[in-house]
Amino acid sequence: MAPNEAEAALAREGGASWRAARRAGGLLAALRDQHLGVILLLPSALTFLVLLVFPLGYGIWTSFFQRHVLDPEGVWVGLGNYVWLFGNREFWHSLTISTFWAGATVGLQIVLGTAVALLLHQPFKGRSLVRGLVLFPYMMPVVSVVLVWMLLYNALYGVINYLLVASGIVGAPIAWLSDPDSAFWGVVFVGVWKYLPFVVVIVLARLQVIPQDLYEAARIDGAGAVARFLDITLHQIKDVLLVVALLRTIFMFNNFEIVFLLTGGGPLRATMTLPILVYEQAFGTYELGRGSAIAVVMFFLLIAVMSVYFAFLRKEPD
Amino acid sequence: MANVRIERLHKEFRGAGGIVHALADLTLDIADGEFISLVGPSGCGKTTALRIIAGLETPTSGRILFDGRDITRLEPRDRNIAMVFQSYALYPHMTVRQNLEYGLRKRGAPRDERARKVAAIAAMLRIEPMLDRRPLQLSGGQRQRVALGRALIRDPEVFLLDEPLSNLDAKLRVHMRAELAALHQKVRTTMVYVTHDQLEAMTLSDRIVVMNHGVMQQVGRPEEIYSRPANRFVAEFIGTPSMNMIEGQVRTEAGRPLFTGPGITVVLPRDAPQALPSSGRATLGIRPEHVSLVAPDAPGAIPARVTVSELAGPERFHFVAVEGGSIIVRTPAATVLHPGETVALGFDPDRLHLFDGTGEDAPALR
Repeated sequence: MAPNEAEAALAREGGASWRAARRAGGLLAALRDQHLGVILLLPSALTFLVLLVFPLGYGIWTSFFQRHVLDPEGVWVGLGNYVWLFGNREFWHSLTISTFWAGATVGLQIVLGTAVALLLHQPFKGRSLVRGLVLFPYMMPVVSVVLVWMLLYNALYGVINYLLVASGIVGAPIAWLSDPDSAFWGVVFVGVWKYLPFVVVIVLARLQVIPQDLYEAARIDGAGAVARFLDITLHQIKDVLLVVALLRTIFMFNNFEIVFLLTGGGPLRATMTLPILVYEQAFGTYELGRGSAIAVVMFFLLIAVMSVYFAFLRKEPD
Repeated sequence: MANVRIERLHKEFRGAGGIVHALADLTLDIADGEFISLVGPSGCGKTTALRIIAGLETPTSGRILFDGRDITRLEPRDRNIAMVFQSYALYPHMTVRQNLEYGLRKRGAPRDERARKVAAIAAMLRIEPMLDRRPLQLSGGQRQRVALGRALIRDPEVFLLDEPLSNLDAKLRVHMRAELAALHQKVRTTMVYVTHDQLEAMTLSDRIVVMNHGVMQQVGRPEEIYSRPANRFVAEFIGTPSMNMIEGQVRTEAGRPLFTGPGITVVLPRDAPQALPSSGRATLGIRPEHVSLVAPDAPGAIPARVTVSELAGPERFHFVAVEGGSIIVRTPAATVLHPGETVALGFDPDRLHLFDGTGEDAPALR
């Protein structure tokens, strides 16, 4: 009996204090008790709605219209824009370019970024300074990066061509960004250069928390440097590499400014990625509906890629 | 199996704060099949010594010989040693089986030999049901066994253990300590064991090396270290609770050496030195179990007042205040004393330790 009585007393006391609080604080106190969770969630929920759900929904909605800038009402065409899209060679070409662009930049960023991180993980004099300097490309604004690289690539007075010609590697300067054969790799290189530090920083951070004991145990077990990298380092940084690959893929697939500012999608559409095609449709030919349709397709493509990634990540037991 | 000779080993680390002497002039012979413990407080150099034997660290000077063969500059894998780490250092993405056979695989052992050895080790350490699990799915004790197995499987000449039990809970630690002792009985490999836990060192070792500040303080059998500590540091480090220390002077009265401290005069046995070789200052040491409660009018009785009394299972530790400080007395649990009670203490004259000086390096005179 006694515990029940005590509980009842507690409940009475609790009820009394709630009533007292309500008398003292009035409506606010009552609200605080009953709706606090909702109130606290409201700002982020609103932000999410306004900044994410609405534009996305509006974009999908727009893709069902033939809508011109001069005719903002537009005409409902249903899936017409998508039918046009999937029958259009431009779209398939850009999808291929985008896939290669994302694949090449992300692949190189990960391989080179891991290599640089491994180098910066070794002790050497001035390591902290070099670690700081490595961040430099990432901190530079894209427009400055593009201007610098356009100068470097320039066929008449670019340093790269000067060095190549002076050292006798090539006979004549190469018009890196205006030759359809070299333009793709020209923009890929800048994309890799600019975002490499992102990979370096994250991989380096992961390297620093790998227990040193594991390497020592492996040394005693007879593993050489290569075996230690393959059997320990690679397994330890694998998860981080997967996440970095996911983030970089989304980012590079959607990246607009580097390619647009360097080549504008040319020459001869050799670097025409999907974001540039969206821009061309929406703001070049003012076909907002078609532009939206491409953007929506990109969105669902990325969702598909992400689902594969997450399925892959979840398979890992730890 | 091999005997290990450590010759004038010296190691210094250069850091921001200057040079740190981690190890100074360590010379030690470890017999084939011996279980030897390096024991001491944090930073005493015991782990550095072990890592140099393993080849994970190069000494500033000195040599290491296995069976007379100089291995000082050899890579760890060329030394035929095995090591168990405090953190176990099991490869987390590999199964227990893969962990066990990794060393064999790296040495190019054929598949059937690996399978045979894994089976034998797993049976010996009773880890067969866990062979296909990963380290994260194991308990602390199981991981410990896998770590031992990974070291044993290669049949090393020298087996190095760096605080292998310190990550286990108290009960498991006692259990694994016994298993380790049984394991050494069975395999009879030379084992070098680093610990800060003097109880582990006492119970497991054939010999103990006590270290402090990179310098070897004493080496000897556990009972020697316990009953005849070479200096004040060893005396205080070995034994729980610590040996009681009383600082004072030694002088001769009526042909007998006397120790006088604050409020205490103790007649020393005849074999004690008549005078101190150096300053005249001395430290008298007596272990808690060699202090007894005596009648207040007994000759030489030291008056004391009880401050705290602790029951530790079968025995009690009484903290009593004397004029010069505090003394711990160990009695059977049946001896009940109350705080504030006045008692009289007697020291067993045959068990007195005397140190020349009052510093921690004060050498023992008896």
